[in-house]
Amino acid sequence: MSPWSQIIREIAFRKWNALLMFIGLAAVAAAISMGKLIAEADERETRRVTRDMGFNLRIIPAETDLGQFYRDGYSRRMMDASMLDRLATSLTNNVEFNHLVGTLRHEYTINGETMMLVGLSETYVAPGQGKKPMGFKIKPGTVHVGSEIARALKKKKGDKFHVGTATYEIVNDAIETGTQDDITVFMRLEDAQATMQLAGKINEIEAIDCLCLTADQDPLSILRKTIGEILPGVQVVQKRVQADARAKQRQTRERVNQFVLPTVLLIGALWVAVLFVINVRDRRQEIGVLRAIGKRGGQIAGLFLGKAILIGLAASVAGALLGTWLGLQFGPELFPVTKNAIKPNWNLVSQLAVAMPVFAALVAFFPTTLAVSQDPAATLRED
Amino acid sequence: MIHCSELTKTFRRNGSEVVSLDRVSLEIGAGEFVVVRGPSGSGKTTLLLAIGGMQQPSAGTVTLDGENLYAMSSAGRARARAEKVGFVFQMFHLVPYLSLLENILLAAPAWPSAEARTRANELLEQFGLAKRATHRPDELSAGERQRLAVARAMLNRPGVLLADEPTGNLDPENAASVIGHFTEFHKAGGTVVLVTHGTAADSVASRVIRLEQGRLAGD
Repeated sequence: MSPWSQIIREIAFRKWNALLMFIGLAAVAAAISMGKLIAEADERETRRVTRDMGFNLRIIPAETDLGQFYRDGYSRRMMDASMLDRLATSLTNNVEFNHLVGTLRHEYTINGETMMLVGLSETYVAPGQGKKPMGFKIKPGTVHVGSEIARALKKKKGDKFHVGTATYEIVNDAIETGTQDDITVFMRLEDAQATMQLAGKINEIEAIDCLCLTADQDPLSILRKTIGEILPGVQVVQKRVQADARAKQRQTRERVNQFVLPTVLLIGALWVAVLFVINVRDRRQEIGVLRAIGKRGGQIAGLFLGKAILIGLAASVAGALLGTWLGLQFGPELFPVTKNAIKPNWNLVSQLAVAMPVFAALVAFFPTTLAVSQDPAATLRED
Repeated sequence: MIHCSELTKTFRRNGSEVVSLDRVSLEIGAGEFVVVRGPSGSGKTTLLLAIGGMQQPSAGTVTLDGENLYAMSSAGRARARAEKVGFVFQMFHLVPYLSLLENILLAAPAWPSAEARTRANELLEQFGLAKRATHRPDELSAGERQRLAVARAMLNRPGVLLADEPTGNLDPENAASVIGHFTEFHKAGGTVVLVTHGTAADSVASRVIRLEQGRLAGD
């Protein structure tokens, strides 16, 4: 009779053993598929939360008086905008910082209202990481106006806004943020440079620290060294509170991910291995008689590995679907900010359909070796 | 057909060495019906398993149809068993989750041919089990199980049947029936090596070998 037919009969006969194997493997598949769904949601949520924390690395001209910088919120010294390009070029080779934005920031007065005028360059992102640039993109001819300025100048979304000789359209709803943004007008870097007659100049490069090291791990000295090698002489300051919060959030998430998957795999592997050892023990005499009637070791191994593959395949599909369903059920409650992005990962389901049978076969390998290597004569004597 | 030369097998049990077979040499010709007797622990089963290529001896050789069994690879011995030897055991050793027909076909190569299926059905008929072909072994009496085990041993038309106390768990009527099947096999030119304490086969045996403490004590 065909080996597959024999395997199916044996599964039906020792149904509890097979069912427990199935449950173990399905639980692993469910944990992986749900875990992946949740981990991706967590990643998105973390990214969103940390993005909302804003840039945490500020690169300013060498001659900047830090006292003035902290008092006024910007550097009165300028640097060439080409320094941004130099730093952006280095993104290919480093993993320490990302999301670079060149800014020109200065006080400006319109109709007696003093405000912060900020020109923003496009955001430079490390290539090949699939990351979307942080911050917002300002279209030509538009500005974003802070709530306090909008209130004082009686402006709202869609109104014209005059800066110097140029006219822009306000494209944002001026919502109070409780930060300096409420007295800030954001515009394209080129527009700010033209307004301030500082063509080709910036006074800050903002970035995200990607080291994600907490303060006690001293990320700043690493960042200063790396950036200093590219842009000698610049000063690098870090918004420690934001950087620390971001680092802790990321480190927590990574620790959880690093712990959960190996633990699930280990427990699943042990569970299935024990069941296979029990199965081999239960079938000692069958193995002996198969040897006696001329079956080779490979044929006997095939019965056990085939069983593992068959159960692994069924369990992978059931488990992956269950895990996906659980992820879709509970994901939105856990990650409300990005809940709409939680979607079934059918690609993972198909990957698990291949991976779980292989996993099951690997786990069954040791018990199968026991089955093949046991002395058939010894088992046939056990009368 | 079968030639054992200086066949020795020792086991380690509880730290000490036990000699199961001690330099046993014997020749069994084609078409013989040999009964092997001896007290428990005299090495009868070890001899049978060694002859069938199932028990690697500590020393000595076993040749079957001129081939040194233990000079072969494990796969080669398996092939020799499949083609030339049929085993029957006291405890039947049937596969509990397969039907009677499937138990017999287990001895055929994977994906058995139509010829093997026909042969299996003929055996079921011959052994009076045809009506129960789809039953499982646990639905059979002891006598029926042993008949099934003999049928399985005969599927590949082996030259030699090796039977280890095949009537040990049977009543006299069933024991006689099983011995009858061995006799038919023998009459058709097959070689039978039968380990038994009983006397049911004495009248048909062409030769009786006696083992004591692993040694050949009578032939």
